[in-house]
Amino acid sequence: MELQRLETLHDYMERCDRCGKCKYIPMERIVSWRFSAGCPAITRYNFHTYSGAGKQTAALALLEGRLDDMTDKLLEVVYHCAMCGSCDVSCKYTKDMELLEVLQQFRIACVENGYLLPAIMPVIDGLKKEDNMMQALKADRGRWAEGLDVKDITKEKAEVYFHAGCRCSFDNELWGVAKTSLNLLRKAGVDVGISGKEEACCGGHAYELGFEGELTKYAEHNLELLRPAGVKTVVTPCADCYYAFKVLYEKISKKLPVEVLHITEYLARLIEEGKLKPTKNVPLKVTYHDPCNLGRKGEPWIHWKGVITRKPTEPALHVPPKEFRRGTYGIYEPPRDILHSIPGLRLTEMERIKEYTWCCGAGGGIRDLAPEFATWIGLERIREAETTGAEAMVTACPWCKRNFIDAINQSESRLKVYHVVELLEQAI
Amino acid sequence: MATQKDALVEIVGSKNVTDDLETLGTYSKDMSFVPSVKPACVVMPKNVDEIQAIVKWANQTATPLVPVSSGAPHFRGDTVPSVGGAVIVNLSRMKKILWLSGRQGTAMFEPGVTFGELQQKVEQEGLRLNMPLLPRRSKSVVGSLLEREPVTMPKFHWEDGDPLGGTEVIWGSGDLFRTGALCIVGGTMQDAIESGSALNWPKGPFSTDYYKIVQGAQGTMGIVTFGSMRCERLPSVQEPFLVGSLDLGKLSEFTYWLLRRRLGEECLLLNNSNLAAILAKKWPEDYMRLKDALPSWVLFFGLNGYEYFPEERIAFQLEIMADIAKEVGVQPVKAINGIAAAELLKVLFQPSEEPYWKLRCKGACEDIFFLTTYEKISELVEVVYGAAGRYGYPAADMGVYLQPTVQGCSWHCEFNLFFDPNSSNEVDKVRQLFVNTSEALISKGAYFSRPYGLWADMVYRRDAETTAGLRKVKGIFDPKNVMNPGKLCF
Amino acid sequence: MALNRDAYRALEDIVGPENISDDVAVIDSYCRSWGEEYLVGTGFKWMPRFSAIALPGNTKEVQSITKTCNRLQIRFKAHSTGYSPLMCSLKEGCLCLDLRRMNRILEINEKGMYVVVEPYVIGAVLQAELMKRGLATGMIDPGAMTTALPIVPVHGVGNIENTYANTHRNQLALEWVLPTGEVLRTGSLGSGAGWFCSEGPGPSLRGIACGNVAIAGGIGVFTKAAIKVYHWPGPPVLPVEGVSPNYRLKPEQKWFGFWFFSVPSYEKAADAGNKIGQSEIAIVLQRSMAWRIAADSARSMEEAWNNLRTTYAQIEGKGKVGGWIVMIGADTEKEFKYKEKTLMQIIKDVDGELLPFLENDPDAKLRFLSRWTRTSTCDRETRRAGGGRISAFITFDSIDHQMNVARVSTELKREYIRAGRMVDDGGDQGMGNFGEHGRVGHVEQLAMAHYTAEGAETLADFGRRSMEMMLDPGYRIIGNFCEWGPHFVDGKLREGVGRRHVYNEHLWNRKIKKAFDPDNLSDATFYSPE
Repeated sequence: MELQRLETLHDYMERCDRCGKCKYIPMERIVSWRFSAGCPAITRYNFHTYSGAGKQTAALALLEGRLDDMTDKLLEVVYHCAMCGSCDVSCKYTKDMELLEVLQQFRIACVENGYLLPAIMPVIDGLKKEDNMMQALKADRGRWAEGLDVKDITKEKAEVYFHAGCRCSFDNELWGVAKTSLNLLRKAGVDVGISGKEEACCGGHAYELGFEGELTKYAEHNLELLRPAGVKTVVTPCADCYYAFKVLYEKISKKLPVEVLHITEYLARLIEEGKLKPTKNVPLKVTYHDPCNLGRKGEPWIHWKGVITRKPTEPALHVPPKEFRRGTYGIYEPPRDILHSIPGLRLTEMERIKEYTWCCGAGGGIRDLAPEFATWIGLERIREAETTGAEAMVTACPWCKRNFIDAINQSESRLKVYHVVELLEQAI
Repeated sequence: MATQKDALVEIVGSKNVTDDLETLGTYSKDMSFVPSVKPACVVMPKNVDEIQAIVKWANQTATPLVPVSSGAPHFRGDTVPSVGGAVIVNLSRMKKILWLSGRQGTAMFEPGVTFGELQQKVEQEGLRLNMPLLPRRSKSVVGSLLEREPVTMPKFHWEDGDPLGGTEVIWGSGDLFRTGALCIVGGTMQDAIESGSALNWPKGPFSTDYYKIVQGAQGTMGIVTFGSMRCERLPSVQEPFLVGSLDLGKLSEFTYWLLRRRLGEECLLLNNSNLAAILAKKWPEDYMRLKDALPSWVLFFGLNGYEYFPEERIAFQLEIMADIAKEVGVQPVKAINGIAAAELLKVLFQPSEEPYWKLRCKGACEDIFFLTTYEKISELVEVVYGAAGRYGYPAADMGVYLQPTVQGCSWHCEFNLFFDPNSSNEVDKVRQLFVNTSEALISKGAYFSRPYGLWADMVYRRDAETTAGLRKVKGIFDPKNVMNPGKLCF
Repeated sequence: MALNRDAYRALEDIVGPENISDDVAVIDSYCRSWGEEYLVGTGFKWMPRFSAIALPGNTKEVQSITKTCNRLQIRFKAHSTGYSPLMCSLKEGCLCLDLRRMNRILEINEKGMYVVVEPYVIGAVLQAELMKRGLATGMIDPGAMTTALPIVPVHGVGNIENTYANTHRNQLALEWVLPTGEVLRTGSLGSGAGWFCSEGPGPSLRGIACGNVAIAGGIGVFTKAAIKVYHWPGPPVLPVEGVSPNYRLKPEQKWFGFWFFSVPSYEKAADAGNKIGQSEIAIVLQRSMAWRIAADSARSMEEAWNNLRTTYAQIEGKGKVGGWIVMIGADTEKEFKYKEKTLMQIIKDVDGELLPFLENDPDAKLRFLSRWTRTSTCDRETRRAGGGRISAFITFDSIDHQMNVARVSTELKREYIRAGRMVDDGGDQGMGNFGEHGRVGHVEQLAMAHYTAEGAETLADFGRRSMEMMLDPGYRIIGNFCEWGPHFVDGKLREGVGRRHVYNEHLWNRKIKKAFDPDNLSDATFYSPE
């Protein structure tokens, strides 16, 4: 197996000493037995291999030639992972390692070496043909915006580009998220446009599945889309898209030359500026779910090029010093600020929040590869939400919302699920 | 042909071997109800070499050995042979105090050293012993530690085996061994002392806590030739208190919180009968008067100050204690009906004056004791009181001693059945009460962790795996079963 | 060496197909921990392969597996969280029992002051549940993400043992599947009286279950344990704030204090430790040094290395020796004030100096408090650097003795640093905790080197020399040392250094092993090396 892309991570990989932190939320944040787990994969499947450390160690075994080749089981393990980054945050609390990056590069290496799981191929084939991750027709992409009379940036300029994302565009139960987001922006007087059926995938989801080329392709596509439109800001209601635009494009040196904001960032700003005034009462007790791609994974990418020194009398040091992304600067407060601004709304927090949130289960390709696992992850979160006494779970990502709705529909739960924008709209 | 006695004389000298009938008679029975079996002789070694030689000889000749370190009277049946032809190995000649260190809080001594002898020596080092309640004058400290007798300062009782440190032991196989910190690697005892070692850590060596095999063994695994123990510091200021109550539940609740909050050091509970027996000088007048004057239950506890700001230390503890007392509904005082806590402090933490306090009432005493948890104390006390009633033993005459152990994790519950040994009626009554109550207590969840005499069968028949495991251990350390055969499950 | 199919199917029938695997990649993910570079001796970094990994879910399954192993003569070894090279077998083909599914807290008995857990309950989780009830228990130094089972960790030492004891000492009754498949319940549990007592009846089989060092899977599998718990003076939920890695206690917390002070000499260090211990004021009484403070307060290795310049200058650079970390906790203001006043007086009495690095940064103290209480790990100063490390000179003894050890071990380490063979962490990483109010503890010397053949040899050499020095009266550190550190010399497993020196302990050890495991199926790599 060709693993050159893991060579640069070898130093980090061999630092793993199986401390086990990657399986849990950070120790200092544990307040109960019930909600102490951080990694959905090992919590569900129990073999150490499923943890971040386990996958990394297996990758190290391949890299160092201890393992001759990938095994079917290992491939299954690699892809039974939400790529949520919980392991990465917990590990980096005390270690200077790049656990999530190892898992990401390992997936890319799997794809490069032809280790492809049949279940994801229709999704990728659909992406290649129809520019979306939903196995839907490109021609249907803009239907959510029918009748909205909004600028089309392929035809006219706009200051702000609203990117709905594949989930919002094609999941008609979630059209409301896109519509509501757009309406709120327009109510605040924002000069906003969309690209309708010309909108294409951000490429982020495919990247997480190991298809690096697709990310590059869509990054370039979106750069081209924005260039003539005079756009200064890209805003999206989807955490996945946010992550792709804000973090991944920078990572592959295809940074968008515009400000990238999640809808909650923008709306919070508008509320602070007085351009949106939530005045109506929304008497609801809610709890907020931090999407992984907006929170711990959403902090800006930091490039580093240097060496790790190995002087015998010094520890291994990064030269120049490397700033690790540890989940500290994700988007945690803007969604909460919005919720706090809504009259009558009571926000109560779950035990696992912010950088140590429990994943919704939609990421990493799990919904396609292992739907029962995705449901299990979502249900775990639903149960946690219910312990707060909340009537509803609020999130800032349509993928999260979809996975929660699907999980609730397979359970006895009566919890409602909202996107932040939907509650804000009720208050305007 | 050399006799048994000849062989022993060869080892210890003629003055230290006895087979006269009167002496043998004193070892053939004790205050317990175990059957009487006369030993063949009594041997009194002086040092480890002699002990090792005796044990090796016992292996060669298949002679049972019964180690005894305390002087009479004995109460538990463990020093009475269970089989004929046994040799009593009396360790009371071994009276050396080997090392004391005030700085390390350690005393190291031979098995013949008694509490009285050791207490006065450690005090000179600024230390005090964490003692059982009023041990008899002839009680061996090593013996007490090996028996896991409960101690009266539960705060310093981190594990059941405390305050025992290390031991030197001759296993039943005749091999010399040292447990815990006394198992010094690479040097001598003196090297260790000069290295600053405290020599009182009980664990090890390596991956076995060998001391746990020796403790509680009733001499069935080997003979301890010396041991060390952890001592505590003498306080500079002492503030003892009493709490009297009819309500045992409240007292134990209060005690629970004292221990949980780590307040005070000395802590024990007695019923009026026992406290009266301890304090009475004239019998029976003092005893009756005290018994009437005292509430049913009395908790004694002591707050102490040491080197740094002793009064302030006591002050903050008093504050917390007062809050707890108010919450529970008890009133700690300095005296109850003329009986001062300060006076009790002097009495309760010394060896017993003669005659031994348990014998003052009627001349004999049989103890029922076990371990339990806080929640079960009242229930199990009622079991014993109920049984006393059924067997015609006046419950009001029974002594009760409740000692929290392991920092309050468990409680030693002891019922002292005083009786006239010359009255066959009383002897029978107490024997029946003892046997039947013990069975009843076991069935109600009382834990007889120290299964002496008749308890052994009651306990081990309920725990087959432990019995099997212990027999394996016995087979390792005493393969020929020369050490006190017939005891426990051996 | 894989299991044959019949054996695999037999085990699969017990745990279910989803709970057993002999996939080589799955197995290899288990074959790394730490320390293997000097422990394993068979080529560093990787441990020999297991034959399969099985995940039993309860005692019954463990028992069935054990009996099956006996029938089919399969060697096996159980581990809980696996954060130790002790979890490995040094012979290929051992069946690995990962006890991850056994992770329940079974009972918290507040009045009985004990809790009952399965092996995969970790310290942090248990502590969180206990704190809600005003209770706490010991947690080990490697961290709160390791098992809470008290006698599983190799030594049981932990940050908070001054009040909450070495975990080995907190072991109450135990449920234990013996290598032959019987279930032994120790102490009061076997007698049907509950979990509260580990001893007896009569002598204690608990003595076989653990000594100064753990048995590391050498005699069967522990499946449940009762743990002694203590009072917790803090709030039910620690008010931690911040975002990773910057957690700290909220500034308005009023229950805890945290200090580091250095001292002019090892003698004064011993005096200080003894006084603090005896005054019973501290939850944490930990010998520490410039590197620990530098590393623990840093968010990266580079920051730690930079911090070291400051902390070193404030300690070793001024000719002082690494001093003490002291943490106090109290229920009332009066209690806190007493404890703080006593500490300050002691520091004055020993000519100690509070560390400006901490005193000038209250935020750092709040971060330390949060970590010391909840994480209890020595990760940042030992494991973040990458590369190999060794803990040497481990003995359990008095503060006086351990200060001697600290002095001697530091001198040895500085030799290696001067020779350019080891990471120069200030030269003194003698760190350790004292428990039971200063009555006993240890100071191990931590040394770091890179993951190279030279680095591995350096660490192994350091370990060998530490062993020799501990056995040489000339160094005045003779005592009760715990066999840990290098088990290998020149690629061969040493026959337990010290065991042969002391009353043939290795032979007794083998007899115990033989009695309880006649077919030698419970892997005894670190229990009874052959």
